Amino acid sequence: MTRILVLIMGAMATVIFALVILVILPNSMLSDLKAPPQLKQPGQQELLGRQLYISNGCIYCHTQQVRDPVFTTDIHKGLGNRPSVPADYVYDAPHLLGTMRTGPDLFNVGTRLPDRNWHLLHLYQPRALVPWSIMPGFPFLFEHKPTAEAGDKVLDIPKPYAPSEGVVIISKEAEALVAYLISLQHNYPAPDSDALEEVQP
Amino acid sequence: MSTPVTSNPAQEESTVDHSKIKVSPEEMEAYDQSGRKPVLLGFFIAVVWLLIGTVLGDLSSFKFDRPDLLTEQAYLTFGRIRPAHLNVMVYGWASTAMFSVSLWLMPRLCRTPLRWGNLAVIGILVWTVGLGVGIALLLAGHGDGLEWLELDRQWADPLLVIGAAMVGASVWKTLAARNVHHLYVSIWYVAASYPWFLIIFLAGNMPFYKGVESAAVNWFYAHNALGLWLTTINLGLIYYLLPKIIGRPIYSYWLSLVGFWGLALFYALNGMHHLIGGPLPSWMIATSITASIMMIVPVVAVGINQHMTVVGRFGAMRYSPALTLAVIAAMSYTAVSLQGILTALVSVNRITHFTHWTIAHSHLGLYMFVTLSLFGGMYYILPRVLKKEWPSRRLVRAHILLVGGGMVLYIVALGIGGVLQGLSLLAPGEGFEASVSSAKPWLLLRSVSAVIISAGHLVFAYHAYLLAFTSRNSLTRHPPFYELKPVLVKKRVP
Amino acid sequence: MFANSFVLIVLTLVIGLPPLVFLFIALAAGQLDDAGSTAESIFEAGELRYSRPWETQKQSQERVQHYGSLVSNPRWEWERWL
Repeated sequence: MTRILVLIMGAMATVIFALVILVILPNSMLSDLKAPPQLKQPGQQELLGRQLYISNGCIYCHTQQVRDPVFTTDIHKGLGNRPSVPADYVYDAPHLLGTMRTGPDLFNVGTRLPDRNWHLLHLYQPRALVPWSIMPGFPFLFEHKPTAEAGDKVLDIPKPYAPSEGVVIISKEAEALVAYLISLQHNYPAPDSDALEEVQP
Repeated sequence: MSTPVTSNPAQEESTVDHSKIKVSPEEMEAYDQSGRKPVLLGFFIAVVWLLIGTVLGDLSSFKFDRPDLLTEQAYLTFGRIRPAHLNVMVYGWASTAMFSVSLWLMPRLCRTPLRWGNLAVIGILVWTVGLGVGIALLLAGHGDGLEWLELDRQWADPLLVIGAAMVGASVWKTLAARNVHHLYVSIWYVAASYPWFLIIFLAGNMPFYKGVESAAVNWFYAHNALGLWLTTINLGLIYYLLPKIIGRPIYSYWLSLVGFWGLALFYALNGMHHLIGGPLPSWMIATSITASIMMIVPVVAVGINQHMTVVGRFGAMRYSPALTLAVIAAMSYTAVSLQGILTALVSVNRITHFTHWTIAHSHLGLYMFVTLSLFGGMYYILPRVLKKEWPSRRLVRAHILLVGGGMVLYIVALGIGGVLQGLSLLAPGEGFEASVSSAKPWLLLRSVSAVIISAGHLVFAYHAYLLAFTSRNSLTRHPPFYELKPVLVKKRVP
Repeated sequence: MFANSFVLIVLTLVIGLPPLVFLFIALAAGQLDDAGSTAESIFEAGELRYSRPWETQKQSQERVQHYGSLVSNPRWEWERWL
C-alpha cells in the first residue's frame, strides 16, 4: 500500500506544484493588472470579429505579440514601437498570442494597415493584393449574389479574381473581422505603474 | 524508522511473493484475454481516427502549396482543418490507442485479470463520442480558441473527462487488486498518467482565465498533455516491450525511477518555453527554461537505461517489428527531448520560434516517438489478444518503411525550412516575403512526405483489417526484416 | 496577494511532505530493496532461458550462466508472432 501512496501522492504533488507555480501564482500576481487608459475596450462588432478570428483559426498562422528587442528584431521590423506587456491583453479571453508567423504579426496591424477596403479584399482573395501570399481566401465570409440589392455593399474585386458572374457582397461578418483587425493598435507608450514595472520583460 | 508494514506477519503470510514465482505463459494469455474487449475496441477506434486525421493532415499540408484549394466552405478552411488534425491525432488516435495499451499492460504487470473492463469499454465509447462532437463543432466554427484545447468546453470536454476517468478507474482498480509486491516501472508511468491527464485537462479548460494568464494556462496544458500523458504511457510501453522482446531485464531499475520522478518534476514546469520573449512575467519564462534544461536528467537517464538494455542486441530488430518500432521510438524520445531542450535556449529560440521548426519538432515527438511506439505496441499486442498472427510480412515491411522514411523526410524538410524561415524573419534587412518564399520549397517537400506517410497508414489499416476480420493464415517463415543485413551487431558465430 | 502569503507555504508543505514521508517509510520497510526481481517480474516462467536466434555465443553463454541451460521457445514467437 505504501508504494501506491508514494506513487499517487508523489505524482499529485509534482503536478500540483507546477500548477501552483505556473497557474495559481500568476493568477494572483496579475489580478490587479489595470488596462492602460489608451487601450480601448472592444465593442460589440469587434468582439464578433474576434470570435471569427478564433473560429477560422487565424492564430495558427498569425501571432499577436511583439517580443523583447534585446534578442529579436520584432521592433526593428516595424511590428510595434515597444515590446508587448501583460497590460496590453487585459481584455483578451481567450488569449490570441499565437505560436506561428507563417503570416505576419498582427499586434499593430490596425496601425500598419488602416485601410478597411484593403482588408476586405485581402480577406476575400489575398493574392489580389499580395501575389506571393500563401494565406487562404475566406470567400465564405462574403455573400455571392447574381445582382446587388438595395443596401448591399459590393466588394470591388480586380478582374482575374472576381467571380465570372454576379457580385460579391460584404457581409456583416467580414466587416466585423476587419473592424477587429483595425482595432489592433497598441502604439501607445507602455503603461508604467509600479505593479507593471516588475513584470515587464 | 519502525513501520507497521514489516511488523505484520499475518499480511506477510497471506500474500505470496509473486515476484519470485514466475507467471506461466498460459496465465499471461489469460490476462491478455481478460481485457480483450476494451483493448480491441480501443485499437479499432484508434485506427479509424488515424485515417481521418491523416486526411485532415494531408489537406492542411496541401493548402500551404495551393492556398486556393478548397476555400469555398468554412469547414474546409485551413484554420479549422489544422486544429481538427491535431485534435484527432492526439485525442483520437494516440489517446485511444493508449487506453488500449494501458488496459493490456496493467493486467500483465499486476498479474490479475482486468477489473471493471466493461466500465473501460463505456469509457472509450464516451471519450470517442465526446471527441466526435468536439471535432464536428470545431469544423462548424465552435472551438475554445486555445491550441490543444480547441474542443468545446461545454459539449465535448465533459465527455472526454468522464471517458478518461472511466478508463482510469479500470486501470486503478486493476492496480489495487494486484497480485505482486513490486511495481514494475511501467505501472508507475501508466497509472500516474490518468490522474495527471485529468488534472491538467480540467485546469486547462477552466473558463475564467484572461489575458496573458490564459496563455500561461494554455501552454501549461499543451506541454503537459505531451509530457504527462502521451510521453508517459508510451515510455511505460517501451519499458515493457524492450526488455520483454530482448529477453533481458531493464539495465537499471533505479535509473528508471530517476527518469520517472525527474520527468514528473521538471516536465510539468516546461510549458512557458513556448512563450519565450512574449508578454509574460519574465520569472515564469525563466522557470520554464530552467526546467527545460533540467529535463536533461530524466531524458539521459531513460536514454542510457534503454540503450544499455538493447546494446549489442540490435540484431533482434530483424526478428520483431514491434522491437524495431520500439527502438526507433525510444531513440526518438531522446532525440526530441534534446531538441526540445535546445529549442528552449533563447539563442536558438530567437530563430526557431514562430517557424515550421516547431511543427517538425512536434512531429518528431508525436510521430517518431508516440505514434511509432503505438504501432510497435499494436504489432506486439494484437496477435496476442486475437491469438492470430499478422498475415503478411510484406505489408509490415511496407508500412514501417513508408511511415519511417516519410517521417524522416518530413522532419528534415520542415526543420530546414523552419530554420531558413526563422533566419529570414530575424534578418533586419529582409521583408516578410523572404520568409514565405524561403520556406515554400520545404513545405512542398513536406506535402510529398505526407503522401508517403498516408500510404503507410493505408497499408497498416488494411493489414490490421486482414488480421482482425479475415482468417487468412500466414505462411511466414521469417519475420519481415529477416533478410536485412545486420549493421549494428557482430556476426553470430554458429 | 496569495503569492506572498503564509498560506502558500503551508499549502505546498501539505502537498509535498506526505509523499516524501511515505517514500521514507517504503525505503525503511525495504520495499524498494529488491530492484532486481522487480525488473525480472515481467518475464514468464522459463522465458529468460529461451534461446534467442540473434544472440552471439558470448551473449548466449551469459544467459546460461544467469538463468540456466537454454530451452527453445515453445511458441516460436520470433518466427510466428511477428
